[in-house]
Amino acid sequence: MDIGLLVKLSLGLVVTALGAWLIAVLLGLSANSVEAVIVLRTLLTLPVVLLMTRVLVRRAYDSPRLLRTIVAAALVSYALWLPAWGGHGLIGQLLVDHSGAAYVVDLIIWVGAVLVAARSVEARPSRRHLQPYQAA
Amino acid sequence: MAIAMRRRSERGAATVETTGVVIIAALLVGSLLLAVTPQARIMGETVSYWICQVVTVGQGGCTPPSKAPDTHKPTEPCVTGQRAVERNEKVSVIVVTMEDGQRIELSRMSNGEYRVTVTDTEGVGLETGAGAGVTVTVADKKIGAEATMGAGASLNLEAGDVYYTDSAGLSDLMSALTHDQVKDMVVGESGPIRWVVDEASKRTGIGKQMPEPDETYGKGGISLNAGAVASAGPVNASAGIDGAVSLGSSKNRDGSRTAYVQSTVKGEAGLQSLGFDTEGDPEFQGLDLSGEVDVVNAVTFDSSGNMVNMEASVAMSGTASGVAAALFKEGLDPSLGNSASGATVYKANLAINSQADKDVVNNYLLSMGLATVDSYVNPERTVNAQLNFFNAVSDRGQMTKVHYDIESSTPLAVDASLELGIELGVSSSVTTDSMSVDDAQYWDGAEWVVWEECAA
Repeated sequence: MDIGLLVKLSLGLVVTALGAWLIAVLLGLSANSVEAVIVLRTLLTLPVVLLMTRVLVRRAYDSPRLLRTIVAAALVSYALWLPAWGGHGLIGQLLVDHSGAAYVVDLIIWVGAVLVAARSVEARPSRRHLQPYQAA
Repeated sequence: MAIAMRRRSERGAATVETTGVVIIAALLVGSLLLAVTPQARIMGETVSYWICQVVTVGQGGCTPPSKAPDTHKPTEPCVTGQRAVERNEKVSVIVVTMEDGQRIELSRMSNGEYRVTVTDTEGVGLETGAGAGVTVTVADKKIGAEATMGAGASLNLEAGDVYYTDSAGLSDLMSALTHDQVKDMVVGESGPIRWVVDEASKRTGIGKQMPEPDETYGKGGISLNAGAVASAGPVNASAGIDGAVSLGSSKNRDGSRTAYVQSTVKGEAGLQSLGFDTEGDPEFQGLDLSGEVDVVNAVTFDSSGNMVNMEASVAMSGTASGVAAALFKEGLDPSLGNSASGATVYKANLAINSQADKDVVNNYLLSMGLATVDSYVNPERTVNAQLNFFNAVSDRGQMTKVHYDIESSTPLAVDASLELGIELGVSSSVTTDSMSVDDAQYWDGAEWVVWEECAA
């Protein structure tokens, strides 16, 4: 497993997604609507998750362990993402009333978004296939 | 080992018995408070008359009720109108029903102020089905034959904040409350992320911030319920009882503290027999009552811990017919077609200015079972202590009676799951209730007179 990518992707997702989520909640508060805040935080957070994943995966080297690393990073980042703890992360709260169920729904959406973003971009070729001038 | 097992099996029994005793004592307060009014005396006589008629199937020599006959101005403001929005979320998990509800109550006071009460309720109730063997014993007697078949008990915890504001500040307060409610729903009521959102909101100036509450209160208690039905020939009597007792305390605006016991009894009671109207036609007569009685006994202590005030409140709400309709309107027509609904709040307030007042209040509290360890209450002492208290109130205290019209509706029902096409059996709804003063009176030492400030 690429520990460097795991740490970078996990922390990158946690920090940027938290920022987007916080901005969305603050903007949504003025609407005085629970549904509006939930939809807005989902619409702002998911693109950030997609973008951050694409940027970091594009810089990573391709290897058979890359997929495992990305899945692990998705799980670790979701576990560290504060809003998710109470089931207040994404749109799950609007789909199910129970916070535990909302946590699971948001987890599926989060991991799915990370995987879709990772699949949509090509990682750099493996170091073994690099030319000497490229490796340098 | 056997002793330990027996102790374990009896755990909680004393609590339920004590609860029953306190509820009975509270009901006695209600009846005594009613009994000091001329109208109530006639009503009591009329109820006795109809009980006599039922027992003797109309053949006994029952004494008919007598004809109705026809300095203590309250200083406290009264509630002239109230509007509440309640949002309940209920999640059912097979056996245990968990309820999570929050209530915001906006009251308009007669002195022009607004009172906003925000209540959080968290309760976990465990109900047992028929044949589960739960027995409710009140004063050494089981309540009816069905009591053991459908009884349940639940614990209720409640806490709340009270805010006072004038009409100019109401908009800001309600706006802050709404923002707080939205935050509760989308961020959670506490925890690190709530702290982050609150701080960010404060620093950016986005959203209204909640002010410090003027008063806070919290209470916890136990509730019980039981039902009984009996039927014989043309006479039918039924009663469904659901009672709850809770202890609470509040911190008031002037720095004083109030400790209170709230007893709630709700359900249905009926006593009917076949009789004849004034034109000789047969009709069902008697009384029928469906609703809720709340009794709150509150003792206020100053900052030095001295007892300074005692207030007993009885709030009755629901629908009554026959003789019982006199609870909500004038007249004692026994016909079951005579019905009335609404809410009536009686308050008896005694400022404690002397040792005699203190003794009266102490005895009253003892009679309510609040200062005794066991559940035994001497009926004679109870009645005497409560009568002494109400006599003291009618002599040198304040007593008020306010009747409210209540409207309840469900203008908005939201099923989030259905809206998204996924039926998972969960739903949330918003209901509103409103009430306004219909009639307000106070006891001037000799009779009830119109309380103009409150009735306006």
